[in-house]
Amino acid sequence: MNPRFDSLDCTTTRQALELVRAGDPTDSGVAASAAQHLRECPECQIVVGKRAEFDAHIGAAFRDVPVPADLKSRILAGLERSAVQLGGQSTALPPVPPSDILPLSTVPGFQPARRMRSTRRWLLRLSVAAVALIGVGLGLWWTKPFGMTELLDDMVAQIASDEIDPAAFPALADDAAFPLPATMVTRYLTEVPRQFGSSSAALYLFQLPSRQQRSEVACRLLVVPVARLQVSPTATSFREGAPVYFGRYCTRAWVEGELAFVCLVQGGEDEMQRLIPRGPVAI
Amino acid sequence: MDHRARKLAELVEQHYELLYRYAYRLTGSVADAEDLTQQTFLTAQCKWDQLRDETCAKSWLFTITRNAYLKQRRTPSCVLLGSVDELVEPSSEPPSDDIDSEAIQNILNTLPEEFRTPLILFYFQEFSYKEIADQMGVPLGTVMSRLARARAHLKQRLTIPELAPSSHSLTGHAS
Repeated sequence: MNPRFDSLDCTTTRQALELVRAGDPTDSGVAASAAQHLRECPECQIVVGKRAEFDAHIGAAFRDVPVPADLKSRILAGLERSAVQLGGQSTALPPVPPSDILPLSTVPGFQPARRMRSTRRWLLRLSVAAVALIGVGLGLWWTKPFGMTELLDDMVAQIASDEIDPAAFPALADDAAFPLPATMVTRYLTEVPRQFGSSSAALYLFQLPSRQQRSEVACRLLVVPVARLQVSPTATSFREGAPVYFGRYCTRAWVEGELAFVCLVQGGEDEMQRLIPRGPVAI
Repeated sequence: MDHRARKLAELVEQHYELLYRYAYRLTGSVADAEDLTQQTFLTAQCKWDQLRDETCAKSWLFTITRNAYLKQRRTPSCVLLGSVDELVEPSSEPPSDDIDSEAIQNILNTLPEEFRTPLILFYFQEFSYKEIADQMGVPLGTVMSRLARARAHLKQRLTIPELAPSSHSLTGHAS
């Protein structure tokens, strides 16, 4: 640190300038002090200048990725096709010139359409939608007896991400189908479970008071019938479940009878330990 | 055209190029990047109701892309956590002038995803640290720390070309 500039040291100045450059909100007083320090400190001027030069150079190379010319039309075509399959929204997206439609790697066999009169195109779209709906219906009917299996990791990753708002899921009218686990402390689970997505899984939202009782830790409990899973957890109690981190959540997965449970606790294993029952547990 | 479809079409128009570049930097493959970009918009179409604030659509799309990438990879991130200490300090020398897109990609391919993602998002200059942290689901300080280490690594690899690329450098595991 240069002793001449005692309002902020060099390290703090460079960190503050970094935040300002990246667009993060910074205390205006700190930003002003950092700017003042920079104006008066030759060392920081050199370091910050070199860093900016380096970043500009590298940033340009990072963004230097040529985009395939037909990508946009393929994306739009894929969305239109998907909209048809999802429920007959065949006009949901702007029309894509048939010449632009190329086979999608995610949709094998998709071929460009030929130009035709508007009425015929409509009839064709309606026919495709009808066939797709029948196909989806038949598919659901056919797969139901055998069970549509899912990956537990995917479900947990989805819950742990910020993509979804579990509180928006509908409450389950019949929560008796998803009993609470016997090998975990459940007194904090006071709300009715919610239906998780379209699958036959339930999600309990609950709060765990922090050790100092000053705040609450967000927790989730996912309950899925084992029959629905491609791979089931090996642990047979909450205590046995190995802690695995998904984003901000520490998780444990285990199986009790016909149900698989995954407990997610925001924070670390310390908080999770508090959900281990004391004494023997009757299963 | 309903609101959802119109917004989706707008999002494609506005963001598909950036998302493709992001996907390419994540995967290092043109074909995978195309698939990932298409998959992102298809997922967005299916999960549109989960987008609570349309002003956050760009971040939401980037999160979907990353999640789809992680799902494809199916590599547990905790395997890589023990290797962070092997990251090097920044060099004082500036990088050579002949940095090209491929050289950057070669180095990115050697980085664990936890370091690669913030580095890409930072150099795209589209997101603040806070937004990167939100997308990755980690605290702001973690993003800054990972970014500082990843930039130091990148700088050293670019400054001392004979060090690059090495699949053992950060992970301690052969990739």
